Parts: sequence; C-alpha cells; structure tokens
Amino acid sequence: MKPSRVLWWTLIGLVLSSTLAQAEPRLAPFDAGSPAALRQAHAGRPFVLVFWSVHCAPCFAEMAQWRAYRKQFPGIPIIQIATESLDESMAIVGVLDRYDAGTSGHLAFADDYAEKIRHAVDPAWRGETPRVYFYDREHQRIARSGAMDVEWTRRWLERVAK
Amino acid sequence: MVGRRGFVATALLIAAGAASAQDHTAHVGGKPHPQRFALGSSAAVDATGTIWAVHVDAGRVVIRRASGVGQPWSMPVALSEADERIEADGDARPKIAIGASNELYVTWTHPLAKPYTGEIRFTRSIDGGKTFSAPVTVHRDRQQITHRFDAVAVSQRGQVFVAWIDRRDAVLAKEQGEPDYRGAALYYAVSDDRGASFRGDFKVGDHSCECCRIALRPRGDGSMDAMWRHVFEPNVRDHALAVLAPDGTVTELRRVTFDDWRIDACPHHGPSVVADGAGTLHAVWFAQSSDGAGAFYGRLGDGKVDGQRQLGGVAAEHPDLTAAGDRVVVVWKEFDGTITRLHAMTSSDRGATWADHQLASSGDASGHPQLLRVGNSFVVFWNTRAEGLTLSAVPP
Repeated sequence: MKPSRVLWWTLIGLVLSSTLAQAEPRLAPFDAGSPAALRQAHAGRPFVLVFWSVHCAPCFAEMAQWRAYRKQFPGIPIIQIATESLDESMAIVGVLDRYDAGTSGHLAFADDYAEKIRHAVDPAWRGETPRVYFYDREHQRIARSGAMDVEWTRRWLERVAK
Repeated sequence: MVGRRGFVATALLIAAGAASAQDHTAHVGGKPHPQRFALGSSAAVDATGTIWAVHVDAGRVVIRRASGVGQPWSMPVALSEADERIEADGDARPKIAIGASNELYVTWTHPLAKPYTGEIRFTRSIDGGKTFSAPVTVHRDRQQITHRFDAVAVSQRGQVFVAWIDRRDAVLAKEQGEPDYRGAALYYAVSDDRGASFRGDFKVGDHSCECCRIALRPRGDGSMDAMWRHVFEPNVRDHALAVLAPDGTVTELRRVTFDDWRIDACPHHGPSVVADGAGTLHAVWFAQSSDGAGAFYGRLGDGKVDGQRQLGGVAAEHPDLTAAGDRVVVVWKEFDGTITRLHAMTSSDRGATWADHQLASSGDASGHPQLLRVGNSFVVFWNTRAEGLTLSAVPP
C-alpha cells in the first residue's frame, strides 16, 4: 500500500468517526426485519406504528396529538418512524426538535431502500404519509393513510386499552 | 462500476465536504451533513445526442455525461459548494434541462435550517459543460419558508422556465388568521438571457399539493404547460394543468385527472405530461381511489381522461413518459419484495394500443426512472445503488 493511500484511509476514518460521534442518538434504525421484531416484542399487546416524512406537513400537525395519546394511553406503545433514511437524520431531528421535543424512542428508515422496508411493513402501502398501523392484542391490524381522525383514533385506543 | 479512481475522488469530496461544513457551521446549524451517493437524479439529452445526468454525490450536486447507451459516464464535476445541503430523495432531486445551443441549466433545492423550508438554486453552462456559473437563488422571495420541488424546462423560444412549490401564501393566510389554507402555491420565474438573470416570481395558483414534483412541457408558442398535484376542495389530491406565459400571465387552471383521491397526506409522487405529434396530451400520475391505488396513464381531455389505465400491478410506482409523432412510451418501476423491475409500454398509434416490455432490474435501492428521447429512439435513465447510473434502450 502506498503511503498516499494510507493517508487517505486515515482521513476517511477521521471523517467517519467525527460523523458518528455527532450522529443523533435519538434515532434508532427501522429496517425490513423490524415489523416482525416489533410484533414479537409486543406479543399479546396492542401497539401502533406511525410512519411520517420530513416532506409531510400533515404529519407535523399531528405530532402533538400523538404525544397526548402516548401520555393518555401509556400501555399502548405508539412507535413513530420517519420514512427518510438515517442519512437524513439532520432533517428528521430538525422536525422532531420543533414538533416533538424531548421525546425518546423515535425511529427512521435504516437506509434509502425504502421499497424493501415498506414491503416488509405492508406490500399495499405506496409510501404516502402519514400512514398508521393499529395492531390490536391479537395483532389484527387496521391501516390508515392521511391526517389523523382524532375521534376514531381515541375510540380505538380506548377500546384496546380495556 | 466505480473504479479505484472513482472511489478516491469520492473520498476527496467527502473529506472536503466535512471540512467545509465545520468552517461554515452557522449555515448548516452546526452539524455536518454527510450524504453518500444519493438516488435522486435527472438527465437530459443535448443536440448532439450526449446524455447529461445530475445527481448528488457526497453531498454535492454533480454532473456527468455519456455519449449513449452502453457508454461510460464521465467523472463527476461538482456544481454546488461543499457546505450547501441538497435535497436528493424521491421527487426532490436535482433537475437538468438543455437549450437548443447545448446550454446546460441545472436546478436543485437547498433546504434551510428550519424544517420544510428551502431555496431553489440554479447554475448554467453556456460552453458545453466546460464551466458552470456560481449557483444563484432563482426566486426573489427570501423568507425562510418552502420554495421546493423545483422544475426546469426550456421553451421553444429558448427562455428558461423554473417552477417551484411555494408556501408564502399559506404563511400570509395564517398571519391573517386563516390557518386552513389548503396546501401550498405554485410559482415560476423566466430567464430571457440563457439563465444570466430571472424575472419573477410569477404566481400560477393557490392550493397545490406540497411534496410532489411539477411537470413542465414546452408548447409550440413559447409558453409552457405545467401539470401538478393540486388540492381541490375539500382535500381532493387530483391533478391540475395551466399554461404559463413568459410574461408571467397564467391561464385559469383546469382539472385534468378525476380519481377523487380525498386525503390529507403527502404522496411524494408527481406526474409527467407530454404531447404527441397531433397535440394530444398524454400523462402519467399516481392516485388512490375507491377503485384502488396505483400508477396511471391517460390522455388529458376536456373535463375527462381518455384511455385511462393502471400501469403494472399494485407495486407499480414513479411512472414517466415521452412521445414523438405517433409513438408514446411509458416507463415505471415495480418492486416484488426482492427485485425492482423496470417496465415499459410502447404505443405506435398515439396510445390506442400498447406493447409491454421489461427493460432492466436491480436488486437494491433505486431512484425514479426517467424517459429520454435520443434522436428517434427512446432511452430510460435509472439511478440504481447496485449498478450506478444506467441507460436502457426501449425496443423500437
């Protein structure tokens, strides 16, 4: 290996390590294995998957409502996932800082192979956001696209919380 | 394939980008913005048949060229500064249009610190790609709001049209106590001097959807057709079309698709529109209706769509199309859980009958396919993670 190449690898290493050091710890990856892993982790319990995007104004508008429902229904995990990849974490965290500051447990797509991740969630989902999956105790699920129907959502949460 | 030279060049760009980001922390909010080879890209063909592609590599907009299908791509030349963030996913991707004398016009969206905001940036080359101008912001309005989802096209008179999605009217409505303004608005600017300067900002109309690309099509008289996803009352996300004149006057918009997709959501899935030799408009778009979701083709009639048909199966997405004379070609991609296939359908009778083709496939992530006309043939440009920038000839 020529010295110049060693220099390059060192430089690349430095750049990568500084990037990782500054990466936002609040975002965990959501990949094609995550839907099955979440069902297993929440076996016998209801949960909600909320997919949103940094391009999606209706998504921002309802973050406060999800926050309120998380507080009101602590027994039902409400898991929010950005459909941008972790490469876009600066943009994602920018939105979260503004609309859901101080909340931990947010996820984002692990990479930009979005078709594959979406397919693992639901082959019928075409990528529009907000997209929400309501899993009951038996993990029978209801999928909804578009802005939240606040009343419908509250009734569903009350029903499965019993 | 990216060879060792390509890799070192990429490493150089990454290193340069990171160093600059730290030098200009005020501009980017104090955080670096690493961005690897992004999939959002566009291409256009010059008068000699050379194909020019723009995409984002290590955080910078770059341009490359290829002399045709099967030919190698040139090394990337950076057009944006290392400290400028670029949007390059999905419909938000750098765009390129080419003038009759091989002027290269490139636009992209630069996101600002506040979420959901951005500026439309522009650079040009008037020496066949040897040198490019310093990037400028196209619009006069400089509020920290949405100016995003740029589109660029050259009119039959050589004027450069840049259109974008703009939230100034939504912001104003909110300030005036009307928080329920639907969507955003569409604006454009025009250059009479090959991109040296722009006149604008001209408003096309209120209530566009906020996150889908805009389709522009040059008309014979020097004006431009614009087609976009609109938000009709109360929340119907079907498409509208208007004619943009170079002096800033705009025809009343007309509704051109009728799927009645009622939703408050972000489809991130914009249309394309072309005209055949007889002047009929052909379009592709994405919609969900009571009949199901999908990518659609149809001819835009007066208050109706003729020959509307769904493209491929339930997973078909991101269609594009082009036309020449009686020929019309449509392309889209479709993921089956493992592989993404590039499909095309061709018509030689202006859309009356169609033949199906499968052009290519990829086993990893990919961008949106784009149809190009090279002389009398059609070529699909497709950016893939595994194969890089690809060109596929459409069967005659």
